Order: sequence, then structure tokens, then C-alpha cells
Amino acid sequence: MSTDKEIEVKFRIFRFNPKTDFAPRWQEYNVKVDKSTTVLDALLKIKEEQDPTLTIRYSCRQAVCGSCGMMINDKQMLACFTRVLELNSNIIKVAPLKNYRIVKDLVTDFSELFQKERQVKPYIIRHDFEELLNPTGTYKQTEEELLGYIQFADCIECGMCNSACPVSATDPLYLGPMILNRAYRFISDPRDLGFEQRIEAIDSEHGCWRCHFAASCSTVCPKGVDPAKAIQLLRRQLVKKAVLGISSPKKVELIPMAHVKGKLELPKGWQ
Amino acid sequence: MAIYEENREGVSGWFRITRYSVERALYVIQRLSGIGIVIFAFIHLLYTSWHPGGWGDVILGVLVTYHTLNGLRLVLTEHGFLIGKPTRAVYPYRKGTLYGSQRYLTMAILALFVIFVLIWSYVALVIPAG
Amino acid sequence: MFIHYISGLIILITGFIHLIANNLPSIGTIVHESIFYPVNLIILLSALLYHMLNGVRAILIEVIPGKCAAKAITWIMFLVGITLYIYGLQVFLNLFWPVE
Repeated sequence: MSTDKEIEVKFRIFRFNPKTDFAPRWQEYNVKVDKSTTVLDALLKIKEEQDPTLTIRYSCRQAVCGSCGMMINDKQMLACFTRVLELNSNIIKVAPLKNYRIVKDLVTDFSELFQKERQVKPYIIRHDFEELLNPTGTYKQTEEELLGYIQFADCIECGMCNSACPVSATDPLYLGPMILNRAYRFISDPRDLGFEQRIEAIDSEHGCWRCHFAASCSTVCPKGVDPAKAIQLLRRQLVKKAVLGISSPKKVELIPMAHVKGKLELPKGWQ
Repeated sequence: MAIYEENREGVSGWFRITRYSVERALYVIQRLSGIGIVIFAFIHLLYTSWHPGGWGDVILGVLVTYHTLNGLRLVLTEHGFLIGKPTRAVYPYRKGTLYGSQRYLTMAILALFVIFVLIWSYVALVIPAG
Repeated sequence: MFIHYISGLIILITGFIHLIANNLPSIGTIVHESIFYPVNLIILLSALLYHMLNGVRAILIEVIPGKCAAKAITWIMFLVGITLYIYGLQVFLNLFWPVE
């Protein structure tokens, strides 16, 4: 038992089961917290002691998996990353992330989001298949080239930026800052050669031109990824391509390393 | 009910500005001023001699100067200028689009806005219209 | 979308000249007499119509989802633009060459 002072705090939690309920309702619980209790700890305590039917989604409890995004006091936050007493409020309102379909209580459905993400091909595309299958070395990158994209690679795909974006509030087909950030991370990687294949998804009616720089995505990001910057830099690449044309494809040097040995067999039917 | 399950904010979501940064409020006012100018321009195109007199001119001045100055800021930042280079993300995260040069640009734009509104009101209210 | 930014800049310059010509009598009379004023007005009309209707189109496409709706909105804005442009040109010709 901790020796810190315990304070009783009231939680108002959104309860809704689309299969049986007609409309959502708010339910109140009283929980004793101390200064190191996170919102996730408090929700699990409610589940253990007071109401086992409360449904939540969580996994790592250390802010690296991106599962527990919720609206806490009307702002998008990770439940495992937020301390209850730091919110400075007697009533804590917990609701599921906005702009996603609700499965039950505080759990939202991310399957549509990941379906949209496949349109921008979030993987490195190269054409030297012989080297990829039988690697003989490693690709060289300078520190400067790494800094051009490493900030955008830190994304944990929690989906809170899409929830905060004002364009996603009305447009269900908008790709969203999370997906555009992923697209820019691969386009600006010096090893990737697939810019033309992604343009059709990004340059469309509901692609990066629907962003109006409200910067709410960067405000709520828990990992400092700054998707707003990725979208503006992505626009610059698209304008450069339209005005100047692609000048030269990226060349990346291969450093042969003798101890890297491998031989991969193609599975049947792979292309 | 399907509409609760869908959980989309709708147009009222555009106006939730209390928990986010100042750029969100700037965006909402840009949209509203754009709609205001569209209404004025339609009427002015169809009846060329009409002009709202006196205080109407001041309101029009506020809308036009705000939309123009914020538009200039957007032309610069939406092509990637003045938002800072990508760096490594180190806690506490000071993101390039929210801190640094972009904030100074925003403050400069708002200061210019106040100055131009005063000049426009002076021309509209004090000098008798031609 | 890129043309949206360029038309905005053109409106800034030509609109500024239009306002000065109409409200400040000292410089205004010089501009009014010359050929500069109607040319300036035509450029302003084109850029303004494009910028306005593209902006309204963006707002409507965000609020009404669906692919058919997007095409319909684009066509309607295009037709409104052409109509207003022809109307504007006709007013303009009547104003400056009233013989026709």
C-alpha cells in the first residue's frame, strides 16, 4: 500500500452497447486515487471492484502501443500516459475517441482506418529484387538524411490525430494526418523509390489538399511526431513534382558487408 | 441508433476550439470571413453601385483584412516555409508547427491586422466616400 | 489547389489598386481615365470568381460526403462561375463602351 494521501475522485464514463442500447448514457463511479495513479489504473480498478461490464482496450500501459486513446475531459489523451491528479478536476469525463465507430463503451473500431492506410502503400518500395532477396550489404544513410524523416517514424498509430482533425469531423473519406504522415515518412526516406505509386492516393480530392493547417493533430500527439509538418512538407514535394518534374531518382549507396549472408526463397506465387 | 454508433462530430466539431492551439481558432475565423466576403461579392457583382455605408464598411474591412493576412500566412506555411526543420523528437516535445518561427509569424500577422483595420476604418468613416 | 493560392495573390494586388482608385480622389482620377482601370477590373473579376467558387466548393465537398456529390458540386460551381463571368463581362462592356 502506498503511503501517499488518497483522494476520492468521481468518474463519469460513457456507456453504450450498440447491439442492445437505444442511446448512450453516462455512469458515475467514485474511485480513490493517489498522486501516481493513471486514468488506465483507475479504469481497471473500477472494472475489478465496481463494475466488470466496463469495456476498455489497453495493452502495453507504457505509451508505446497506441491502444488506449480516449477523450479525457474533452481532449484526446492516452489513458496510460495521463495522471488523474494532474488533470486538476473533481469530475473526470471519459468517452471514446471521436470520429471512429464505437464497438462498445470506450472501444472504437480502427479497421476502416487501416483499410485507408493500405492505399498509400506504407512500406519501402525498391526495384532491385536480387539484392533484397539475397542481401550482401547494408544501405548507407548520412545523419542529415536520417533527420529528414526520423521524427515522422516515431508514430505509434494511436489515431488521436485523426480524431482531433476538424476535416475528419465532417468528411469520412479524408485520409487524415496519421496516414499522410506515414506516406511522407516513406516518400522522404532516401531508400524508397515509389513516389509515383503513391501520388494517386495523396493528390486526390480527399488527400493532402483538404488540410487547412488547423494544427490540432500536432497539439494532441503524445509522441511529438508533428503530423502537420509532414503534411506541409508533403505538399511541397507534390508542388515541386508538378512544377519542376522529378529531376533524378534517388541513389543510395550499398556498403558490402562480408558477414551478411542470407538466401531467401520466394514463396510460391509471390510477385 | 446508428447515428450514435457512427460517432462523427459533424459541423459542430469545427467550432470546438477550447482545448487546442490558436491555429484552430484562426482557421475557423478564416472560413467564416470567407463566407462573409462571398455574400458581399455576390451582391456587389449584381448591383455594381451598392456599397454598405459607414459601419458596414468597417465590418467588411475587418473581414477582408483578416482573410488576406491569414491567407498570406497560409501561403507561406502550407508550402513548408517557416515551420522548422524536422529534428529528433525529444521530451518535452516542442513541435515545429506550434512553437518557434510560426508563432512569431502569427503574432506579426495579428499585429498587422490591428493596424490595417484601423487604417481602413479611418478611410471609411472619416474621409467622405467618393 | 495551387491555383487557389496564386489567385489569392492576384486578388490582393488588383483589389488593392481597385480600392485606391475608387476611394482616394488624388490618385484615383489618373487611373480612372486610362486604359489601366478596365484591364485591372477584368483580371480581378476572373481571379475573384475562381477563388470564391473554389472555396465554396471545398466547404461543400467536406460537408456532403460521396463521389457523386463531389462531381455534382464541381459541375454546379463551374456553371455558376461561367454565368457570373458572362454577366460581369456584359455589365463591364455596357459601362465602358455604352454605344454597343
